[in-house]
Amino acid sequence: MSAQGPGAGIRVQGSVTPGAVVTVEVGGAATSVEVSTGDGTVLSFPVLPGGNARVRVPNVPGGTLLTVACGTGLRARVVLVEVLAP
Amino acid sequence: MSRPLPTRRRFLAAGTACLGALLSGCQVPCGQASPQPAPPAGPPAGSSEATAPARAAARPGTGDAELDALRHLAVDAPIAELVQHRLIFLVRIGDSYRKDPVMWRGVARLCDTALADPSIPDRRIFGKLLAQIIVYGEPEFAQPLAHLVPELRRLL
Repeated sequence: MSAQGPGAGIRVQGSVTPGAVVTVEVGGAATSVEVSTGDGTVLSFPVLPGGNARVRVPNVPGGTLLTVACGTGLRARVVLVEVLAP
Repeated sequence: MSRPLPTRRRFLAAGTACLGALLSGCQVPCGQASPQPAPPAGPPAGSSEATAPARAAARPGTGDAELDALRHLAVDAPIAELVQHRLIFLVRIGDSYRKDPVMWRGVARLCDTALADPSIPDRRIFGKLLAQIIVYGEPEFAQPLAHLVPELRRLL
């Protein structure tokens, strides 16, 4: 998994395959992070005390890009995560 | 304390000033200190950016502030601004505004830029994301861009 793009304030660590659980570090006062692939499905995960969210990677084909976002409007923070084939 | 000029001298002074203004092409009133610097030249008439304010004024608001801001980015804002906000723009068209025709015009602009500009940051991933948005997009709006998908996926 690789994080891409201007996602200051949100960080994803580790490598993932479909179905894995990853920790997303979130700065600021966001209460949730939203994960989507662009197909209209949005998965929401709460930000836990300490500023981390535990995100389960959806079962998507290898090579799919996930967007992980928090916040609203143009100031929302987004990182891209590339899912590797299992 | 200055003495008022005789009528004839005042007439000559005014005539000289106006003649000077005419010869120099100055369009400021006589007596004004110095003209303000000219504003920077705008985009050429007829370009998309020259007509952007007119388009924005002609397009009614949606009542959704976020959508209005994204629509502005899509068609009115300079391409650099759209590229700067590309990720949140593509997130929102993928999850919230999937059937907004104005937003899809922004996707088309981003595709053109990704294909034409090798200096786009993270161009390979950007191309892949654009391709994915088109593939997963509403066919009615995404189909006209489908022919770009193979090329977007090949970007390095």
